[in-house]
Amino acid sequence: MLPDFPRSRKEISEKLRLHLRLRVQAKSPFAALGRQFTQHEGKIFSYEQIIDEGKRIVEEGFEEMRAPVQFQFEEIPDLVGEVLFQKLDAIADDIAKQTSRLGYRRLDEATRLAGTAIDAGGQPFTQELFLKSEEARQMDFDPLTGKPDPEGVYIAHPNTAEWMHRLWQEWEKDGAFMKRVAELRAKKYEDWRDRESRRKLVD
Amino acid sequence: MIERVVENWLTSANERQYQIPFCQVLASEGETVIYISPHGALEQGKDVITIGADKVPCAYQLKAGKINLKAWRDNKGEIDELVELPIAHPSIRSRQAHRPYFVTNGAVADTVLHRIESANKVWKKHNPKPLRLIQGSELVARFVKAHGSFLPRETRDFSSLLQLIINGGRGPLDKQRFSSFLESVLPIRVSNHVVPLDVGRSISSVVLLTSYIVQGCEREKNHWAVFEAWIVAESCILGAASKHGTPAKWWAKSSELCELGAVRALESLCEECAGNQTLFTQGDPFTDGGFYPLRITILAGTLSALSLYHRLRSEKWERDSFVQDFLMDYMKRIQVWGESAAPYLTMAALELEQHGAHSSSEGLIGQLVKTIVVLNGSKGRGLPNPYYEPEDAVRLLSGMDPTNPEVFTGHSYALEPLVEFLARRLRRRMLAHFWEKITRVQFTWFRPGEDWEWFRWRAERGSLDHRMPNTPQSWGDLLDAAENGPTGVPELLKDRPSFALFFGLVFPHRFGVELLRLIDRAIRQSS
Repeated sequence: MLPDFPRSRKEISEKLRLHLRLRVQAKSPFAALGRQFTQHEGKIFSYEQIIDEGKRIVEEGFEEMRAPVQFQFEEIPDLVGEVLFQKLDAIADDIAKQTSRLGYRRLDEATRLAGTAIDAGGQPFTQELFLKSEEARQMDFDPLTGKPDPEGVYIAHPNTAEWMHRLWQEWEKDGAFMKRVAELRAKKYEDWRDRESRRKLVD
Repeated sequence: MIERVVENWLTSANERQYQIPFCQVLASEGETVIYISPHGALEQGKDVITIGADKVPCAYQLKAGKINLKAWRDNKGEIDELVELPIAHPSIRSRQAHRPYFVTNGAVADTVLHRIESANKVWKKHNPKPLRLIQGSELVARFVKAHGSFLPRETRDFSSLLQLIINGGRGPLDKQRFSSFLESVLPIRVSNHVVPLDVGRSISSVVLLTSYIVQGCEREKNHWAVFEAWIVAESCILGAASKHGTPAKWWAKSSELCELGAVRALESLCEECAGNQTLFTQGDPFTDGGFYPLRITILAGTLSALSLYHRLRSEKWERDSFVQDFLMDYMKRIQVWGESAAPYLTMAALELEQHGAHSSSEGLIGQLVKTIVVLNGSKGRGLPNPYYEPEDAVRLLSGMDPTNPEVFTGHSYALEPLVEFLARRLRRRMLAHFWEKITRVQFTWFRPGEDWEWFRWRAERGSLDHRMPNTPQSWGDLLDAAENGPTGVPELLKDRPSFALFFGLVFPHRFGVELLRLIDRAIRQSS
């Protein structure tokens, strides 16, 4: 073989993998959200899902993601520094898109099963729709501040997000609407307190 | 190639080091090993007693190195006992003449050969069967023959064997590599059924290979690594036997020999501890402080497991008061490096209980529960899961593994068994105090796909199951569940609760509800 330096290359490869992972998280909210598990053995996993009838056990396997990468021999000698990170960025884009697609699909399946999915049917996002979605979701609160924890995560296309942000600024001026939001939050707070009070050992 | 490995190993082994593999060779040649002198000490000149394939009892005395006239004279008394005194063992009819063997891993001088010839004439009055000699060259040939074709086949596996032999020394055992190597010899990865004879032969080979691999650790007196190696080997043996439904007669002796190797290693560790004058510190003082609590925790767990092992087998063990004193003096020094510390602390708690220290025992487990729920129930990285060995966990937490992104919060592998431990001891108030925090951590458990996969370092099939603790949780239901039997544990483990003690320490990722139920129940029944 040609002269080589496997020990150092392995180390660099690990660092690049970490960089890639962080880039994917930055590009896909699904990769950054939720709890992460590293499974050290076996190929399936199970977890509990809360549905209308109580709990159900979901057993699933892993889904493979592929990000094809092509290298020309000519480009490899210059694949360092900025050029290398651009290449990695392109891979991160691809993985992030796949992660988001998978995330939306799984979220859709889970919310439909739990009865918390709300379909606007292509209609514009309205105050009623917002309140309905807030009503459907389980909210947790910070025990010290009494504020929702987390405040709420909305996943949307950047253009939609900007539009929603503007919409919210308008809605905030609507006293009647904000009163309904506050009432809903108060109800959610009571629900949360009720759930918290059940975290105990009883007879 | 294997001849060179055997030869190198054998020439530098002492009689104690080659006793176990020698027994394995005898067993694979068709002899039934019925007695192995404990601690390597001689009993009436006999280190090993067997019943030969022809039903004639055999007694072996093992020596190391070249036997010249001086060595012969020095050992003459023991050799007389070997030949003249009949075997006193319940499996052997009294007065039945036995075949005596003098074994050395070195050569025997010609002058000694003449002495043996003359002595045999004198001994004939007491024993009609003459003393036979087994020298190093014959031993090498018999060891190689015992391997048969069950040796590493691929160059990569052979290289792995050599690396394991060379690397074995002062550090922890590389269990991943070691078990992967043993799986290259055993019929673990194959999909077809393997006949018992071949399973048995591959298992014999594994016992011998383990002896070669642990020699470096034995030389360094790295008893912890030796202990772990024998338990991994025994586990692989149980896995192969379980996978192919092999009857016990093909592997039970090999399994026993591995366990004997493990017990001897822990007994040596205990002896070293009993004689320690440095408060268990070791090596460079600048770097020992960070690792000292790990060492104490490992010692507390392994020594406790050894004490419990003897107790479960109703064997009297003279060091149990030393273990008790060690626990009482050093418990304050233990450290939870990650969830793989849970089996060690649990063993210590179980041992404390045996000495009536119930409050300390339950307090220790309560403290562990608290650590898990505080670290894994809040934001941050959490406590490394049981797949992280002590050193891996320390490296991760101290920033020496900077590219590892794994986080552990929100779930725990050890929490549920520990909760059940406390429930079985009716510590309702303690659990009620923690329950709110417990509910913020999911109970996680890897369920191996099939029974035999329990014994693998990493199972290929199986499911990582998560369950939220109940809110609220009924105390009655919790108690009922905790008192359930270990239904999910493989039969080969259920039949071996004393092995399960060691298995839990060496395979911390298998230390779950079922394994602890098995251990706890066995200890309660033996008390």
